[in-house]
Amino acid sequence: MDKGFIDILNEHRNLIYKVCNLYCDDPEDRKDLFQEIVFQIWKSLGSFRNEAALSTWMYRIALNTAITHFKKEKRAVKPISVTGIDLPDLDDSGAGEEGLQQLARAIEHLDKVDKSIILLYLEEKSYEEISEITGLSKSNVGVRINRIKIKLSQTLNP
Amino acid sequence: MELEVLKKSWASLNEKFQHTTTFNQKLIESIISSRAFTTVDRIKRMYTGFYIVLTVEIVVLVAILVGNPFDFQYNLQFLPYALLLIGVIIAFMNLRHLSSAINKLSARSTIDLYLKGIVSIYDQNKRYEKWFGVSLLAVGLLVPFSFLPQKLERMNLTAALADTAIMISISLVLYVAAFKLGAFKNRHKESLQKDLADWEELKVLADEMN
Repeated sequence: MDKGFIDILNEHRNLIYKVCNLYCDDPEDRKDLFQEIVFQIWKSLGSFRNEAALSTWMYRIALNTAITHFKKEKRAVKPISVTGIDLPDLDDSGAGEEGLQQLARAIEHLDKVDKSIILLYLEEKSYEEISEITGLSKSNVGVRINRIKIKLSQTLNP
Repeated sequence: MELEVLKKSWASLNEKFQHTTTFNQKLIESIISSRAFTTVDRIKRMYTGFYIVLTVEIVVLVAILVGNPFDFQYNLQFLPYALLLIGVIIAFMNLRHLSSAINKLSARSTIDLYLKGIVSIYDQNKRYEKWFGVSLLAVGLLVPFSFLPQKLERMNLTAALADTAIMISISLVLYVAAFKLGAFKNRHKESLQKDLADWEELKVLADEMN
């Protein structure tokens, strides 16, 4: 296997962890999604052209995979048997990290598309970058984010 | 402002993830070799099955048309097989078109294009399912007519037509019985229901992206 691929994965492992945490509550589901994202990145890496930033390209693949490929009930693959993988969990943040628990609670109620937008927004991506990754127009991204803000406000301040 | 609070939490999450152990080659190789079956992969496998069925059909039909194993005397007797062969060839060509569309579909495109691509392939696939149903029915209904001339040599017109009608009726009864017993519907019922649910979900998501 190309060592460059492992390096790229390691360099952007945060990105994959965040997508996995955003879309899966269950640790086993998270591992399944993680496997699928890694596979999709590996499959597509040969055709990566430097037209987009590597992180933008990886976000696309990770989010596309999370939204379209992953089905909880279709766990057709055996859980990862190799030791050494311990996907970090948004929830195991400890008592001192109330903010992270609040974050998990807030995101839990968003739909799949909104989850991808809020993730990119929290990553401080510009509307243009969010638009480039999701395919939504910039104005549509703006509208979506405003709606998400309202939803989050309702969730966090019931 | 909730989002600003969440941004701080997100930064803290980044920090936390930054300290995770790095992946090793063995782990990644294991993941890739034990990859999950994806929706697109399932479609690809299904199309491979269609290719095999269509290829077998083409070979059998060409053998019938060229070898005349039933000793047909009139060109008209070959008509059902010829029509079926044309239909199968068209289906084969369309399948190639769909397979090419799947291969072009890439997870690296924008989310909306990817979703629309998958939905489009599902839509086209639904048309294939109908086409296969029609072609199978055509075989059952038209083939008995091919043997009508031979029957006419042995019996009078009414008896020959009655015999042909009986054969067609038997075909129909078998089709209806097979349908009712779930040969077409329930063979992969669970899988088909999941596919349908996936498709509906993808369609909703694709609409949302508009």
